[in-house]
Amino acid sequence: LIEMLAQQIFNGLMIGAVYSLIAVGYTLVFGVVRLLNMAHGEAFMVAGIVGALAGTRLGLPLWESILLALVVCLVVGMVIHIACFRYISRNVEEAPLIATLGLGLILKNIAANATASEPAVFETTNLDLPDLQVAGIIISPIDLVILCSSIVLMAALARMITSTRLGRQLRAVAGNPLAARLMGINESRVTMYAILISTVLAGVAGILVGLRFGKVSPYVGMTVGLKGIGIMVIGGLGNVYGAMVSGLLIGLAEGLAVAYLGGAYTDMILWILLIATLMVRPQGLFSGPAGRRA
Amino acid sequence: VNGSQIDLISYDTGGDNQQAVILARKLATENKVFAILGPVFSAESAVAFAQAKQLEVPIISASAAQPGLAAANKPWAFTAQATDVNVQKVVSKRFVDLYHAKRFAIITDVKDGWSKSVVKPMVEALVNAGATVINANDPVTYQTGDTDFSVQITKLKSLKPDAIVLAGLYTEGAAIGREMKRQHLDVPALGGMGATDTQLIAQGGDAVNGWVVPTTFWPDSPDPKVKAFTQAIVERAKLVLPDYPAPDKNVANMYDAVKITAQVMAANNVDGNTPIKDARLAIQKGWSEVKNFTGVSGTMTMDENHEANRSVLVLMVKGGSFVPVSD
Repeated sequence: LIEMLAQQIFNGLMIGAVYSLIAVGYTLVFGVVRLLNMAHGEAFMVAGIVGALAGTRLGLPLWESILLALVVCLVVGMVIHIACFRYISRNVEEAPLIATLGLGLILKNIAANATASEPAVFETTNLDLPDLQVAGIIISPIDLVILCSSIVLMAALARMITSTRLGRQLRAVAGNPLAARLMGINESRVTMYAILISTVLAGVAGILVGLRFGKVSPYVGMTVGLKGIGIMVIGGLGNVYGAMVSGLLIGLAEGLAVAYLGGAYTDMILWILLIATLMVRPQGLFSGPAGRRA
Repeated sequence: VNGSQIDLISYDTGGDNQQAVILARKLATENKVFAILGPVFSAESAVAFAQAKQLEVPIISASAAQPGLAAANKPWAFTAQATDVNVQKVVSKRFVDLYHAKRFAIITDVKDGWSKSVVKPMVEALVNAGATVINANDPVTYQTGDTDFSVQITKLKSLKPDAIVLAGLYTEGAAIGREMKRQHLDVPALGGMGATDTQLIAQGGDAVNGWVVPTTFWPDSPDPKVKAFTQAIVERAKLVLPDYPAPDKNVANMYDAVKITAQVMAANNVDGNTPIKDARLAIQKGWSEVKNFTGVSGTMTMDENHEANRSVLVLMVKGGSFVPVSD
């Protein structure tokens, strides 16, 4: 019984790490432009699909497939920036948001046509290495890669935000866009970097999920995207650290809910926790001073 | 047929129930078709059948397998897919004989109508075959579209079953197989018609080796009729989808449904000049009298509930393809 609980906690943390990567990307962009990037979940999907098809259709080895997927992700990020933020007036506040929604649907349709609506399958999963067994818990090498790369990426992001020129610019634009502009910060360029970083984070998550579960569906983007938004709100709007922690918490809560209540609760649990959080702490669990925001 | 060419008008419901209603009405009233072949899924068939009944046009789903759908919309609706009660009876007995499995654990998709409806026939068939389903009252559950099954498999593993019975579709089935392999739940699995698709193997890889599923169509059959059909479909499908593996039972069933409709029209002197009301009535009557039709997907007879009685094949996944399991 304890062994099963331990395994379920590990299962939950593993998927939670992926959620964190996605939610952090949302948060980064939201912090800077104060708008949701509704194509964010589709970047996750595109990376996964490209990574899989690069292996099966182009015959590329795994590392080259991953590299290609990340390059495509950067291109998607640039397209999001150019098509939805750079040339769309922010005078109508919702215009960029609607544009990202439209772009997301276009990406979904392209992927669905490329795969005939079926999931794209990764040729290599679990990195073709044997599993580890620690105190009865089965840990795949790819689980460790997911946990480690999520932690490393989030630590690198935290360091970038606090200690680099770009990080300071991001915080400046997030804190007070007008003042940032007056200080000579190029808001458009900062927005572009925020989108590119967030898209790559989503792309890494998409590839990791593909490698862990063996396939990525062209329809997964919206589900993943909505989850990312929910996790971001629970963590505290615009708070990168909040998104990291609440991603892990949601993964854990979902895992335990499925194990002890049933699969029908997978999607429900996040939204129950979201409403509960908003009722008790509308600013989110980890909403802190502006300085901690991205 | 009788000197007239059949016009095929094709719409895509996208699996959406609302679209199925709109398009069924459009076909019946605007396009003034003699008969509707489709839709694909049970849920959309349920709503489209009701429209067809109201508009008095024959409607035949070649793939919906949920029992009672056609009976609720008689005399105009038909399901040409084998019913789950018959199918599970055959496949469960064969599985128990093959693996000598006694303790089964069931996992089901709570979001999919067919998956929910097949749980009962699956459990009953296994009990009749001399096995028990240890969690029949508390199945392990998931939802269509889930990709992470680690939690579910950990739970199934704790039940220590001899075999798994999957009341779900092939996409999630393939992912379940992969996770079973990862967590070393090394027991065979039994599926239903929803799991029988070449995509189960394409997506599940060697993790689904040894899985047993029922079908009405086996694309690798040595039967020359099936061979020719498979080759023709693959050639056409590859023009749009380079890695198309082979037609599945739904493709074959739809092909047979078109053939039956043409045969029924020919036998009842329906041609392009037949008044629409007479043509629809003749096709409806003809479909209700189909007996021992032999097509690419075996033999079929319509029963009094307008559900097809079909020959059932039992297949096992072996070395990356389906092979038949003999008696």
